[in-house]
Amino acid sequence: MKNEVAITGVGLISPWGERIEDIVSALNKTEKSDGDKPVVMKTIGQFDSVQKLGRKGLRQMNRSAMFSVYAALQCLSDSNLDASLASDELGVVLGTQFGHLDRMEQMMKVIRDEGARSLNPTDAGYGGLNVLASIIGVRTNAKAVNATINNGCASGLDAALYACGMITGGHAKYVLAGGVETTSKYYLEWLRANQNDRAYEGAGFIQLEKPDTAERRGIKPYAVIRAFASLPYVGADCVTKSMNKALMSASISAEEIDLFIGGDKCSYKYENSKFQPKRKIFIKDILGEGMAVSGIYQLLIALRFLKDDYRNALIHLCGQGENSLSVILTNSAAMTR
Amino acid sequence: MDRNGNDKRMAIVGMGVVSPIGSGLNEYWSHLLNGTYGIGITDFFDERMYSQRLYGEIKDFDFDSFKKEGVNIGRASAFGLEAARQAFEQAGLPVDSSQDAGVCVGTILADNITGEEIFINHGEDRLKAPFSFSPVPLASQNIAKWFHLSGPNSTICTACSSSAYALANSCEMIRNGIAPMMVTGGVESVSYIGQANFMQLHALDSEIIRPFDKDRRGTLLGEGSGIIIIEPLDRALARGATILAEVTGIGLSCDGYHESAPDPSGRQTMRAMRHALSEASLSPKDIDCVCAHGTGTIYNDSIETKAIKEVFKDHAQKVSITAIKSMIGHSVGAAFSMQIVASVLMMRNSTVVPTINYQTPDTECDLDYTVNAARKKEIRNVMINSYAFGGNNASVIISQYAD
Repeated sequence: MKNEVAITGVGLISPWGERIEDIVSALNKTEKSDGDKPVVMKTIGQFDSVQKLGRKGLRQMNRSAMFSVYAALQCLSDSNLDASLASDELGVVLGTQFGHLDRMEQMMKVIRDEGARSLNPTDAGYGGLNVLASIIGVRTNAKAVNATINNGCASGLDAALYACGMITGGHAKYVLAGGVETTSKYYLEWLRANQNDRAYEGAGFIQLEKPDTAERRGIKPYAVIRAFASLPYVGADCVTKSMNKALMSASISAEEIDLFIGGDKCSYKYENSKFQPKRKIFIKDILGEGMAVSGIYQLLIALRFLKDDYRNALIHLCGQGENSLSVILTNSAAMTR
Repeated sequence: MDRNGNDKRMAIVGMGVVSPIGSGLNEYWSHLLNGTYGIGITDFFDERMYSQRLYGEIKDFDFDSFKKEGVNIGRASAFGLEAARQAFEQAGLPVDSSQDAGVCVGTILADNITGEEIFINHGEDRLKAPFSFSPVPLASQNIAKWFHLSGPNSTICTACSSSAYALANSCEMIRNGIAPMMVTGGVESVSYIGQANFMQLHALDSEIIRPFDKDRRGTLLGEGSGIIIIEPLDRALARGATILAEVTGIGLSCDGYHESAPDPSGRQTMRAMRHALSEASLSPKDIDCVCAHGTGTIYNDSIETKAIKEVFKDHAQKVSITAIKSMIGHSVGAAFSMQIVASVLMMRNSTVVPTINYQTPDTECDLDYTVNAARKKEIRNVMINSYAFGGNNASVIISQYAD
């Protein structure tokens, strides 16, 4: 990536809490040690939507919309950006795989059982996948780009990649990039079909902007995205290729990576003896499948550790039939000018 | 050339199209030129369930040629594969794994019709992967798999401007070194949900689609695909490619007003147009043709006209506008992709194609819409507008290639 992009805000909601620390604490628990029975889907408990979001527009928000709006608003607040002043420069890019399917199923049932004429006109405008990002755009007053990425497990990380391009290309100055996935029968059926026995729902957002934009605002970034690589997940060496491409793009060597956040060990085959990070975390092996939100949580976890003594993180995620995505993050204090 | 000082000019080197008025560039162009109307009653929609059955259906398409074991090719994907095949052929590119081109396609529902048919006719318990699990990603993945492309792939959904946003993403993927070449465009096919949504929003005309006409009452939907291949100009020239046009400016914005209604002020549509002009380093008087979003709805056509007047000032009365949806219908996620193919053809043939079905002038829409007959005109630059439910606006400028 020719231009670096800074992460200046975070927001999330997860079954374990609303702070990055809560997800990191969940990582430290193993299946054997926590004593819980295996669960198929870890869900977010009580969510007082009226208290957290206000009543306006709630009727048209499904679970995915509520969680993603909440996480996006948290992120905006965390970044200290006044959206009312920056609305023409603020964009939203959201990744989700199943986020809209419950609505579509409701519509199909009405069409099947009563005919298309019985579809409620006030529901009719909410059938498309784009609606989630649109709702976020209205609630955050974001009037630059607004897009939804639907690309399987990689959707959230793909949304971050898209958002970086929008910033480096001058289409937006700030972008809220995130992922959301919520429990649904489609999500559960997908898990069964792919022999996954654990999963979770949640939403997560990062705010992106150029490092000099953040500096002018007096904001210290959490970290800087230095490179993205995206290749099809085809062939045994696609993981190696993806990681090497990201390293080359960031102009750093494998030896300089001291933190690795991956998906699951089975899909991780990086052939490089010089790659010896101080810490490796395989999020899917510990927390289960998170679909579109997993890539965002991987980024958030990396931000937490980059605050300590880690300098460079490599995040990798892939899914069958999709992309092998690699991202290089650097601790902003470690960036030399 | 662009605002960041990036000198990566984007060349369009191949394109393909599948539409209700023809498949392939020659057939598409011939019918656009003649003002062929591609919309009629379709048997997809049962009259007991749908009060509105007019649709731009693609007939006589050879779906069998895209059947392959282990690959799930639905209706929209098949359109995309055929359009991509034409684009590769025109670009003179070999189709094998040596192509590290990426794919980024825009769509709203992609192959959803397959799952919808199972759901509605056989019950939801008969749904099997992948169609029950959102087939939208297949729009890009199928093109990547079929043509053995080894670059990244992703699918973008921004309702009716999806393929424009896909083009924007593709340009930035190339500029950021993530892919050396991109296959981009849009796919869309008939859908029970799509038709029902537009019908119940009262966005469909009951008789005919007539953009900018005083008696317009809505749009009519259609299906199809437009695919273009883009690569950096210097790379295209180095391999001796024919440069069909350049993508010189892209402006994106979002109304942020309502999830399914446009902002009546048109402020963000104007901003998208101005951003595209600025990126292209052009002034409004350099635009010879506007390929309008022109859906035939009361609000869109008024707002778009107002925005063109505000941005183009005096030149608004001189620029030639065309609304090809009057012929092919509104193909939602694929709409922009079919507009950009038409725009390149207009530029290369120095002819503006007509906005058909126009009978009664509207005092609110009083610009030159090239009504009912094509017109010869030297075209250096075309602005293509694409707007969406939720207010996702895009304006793209393509220009004649000049050394």
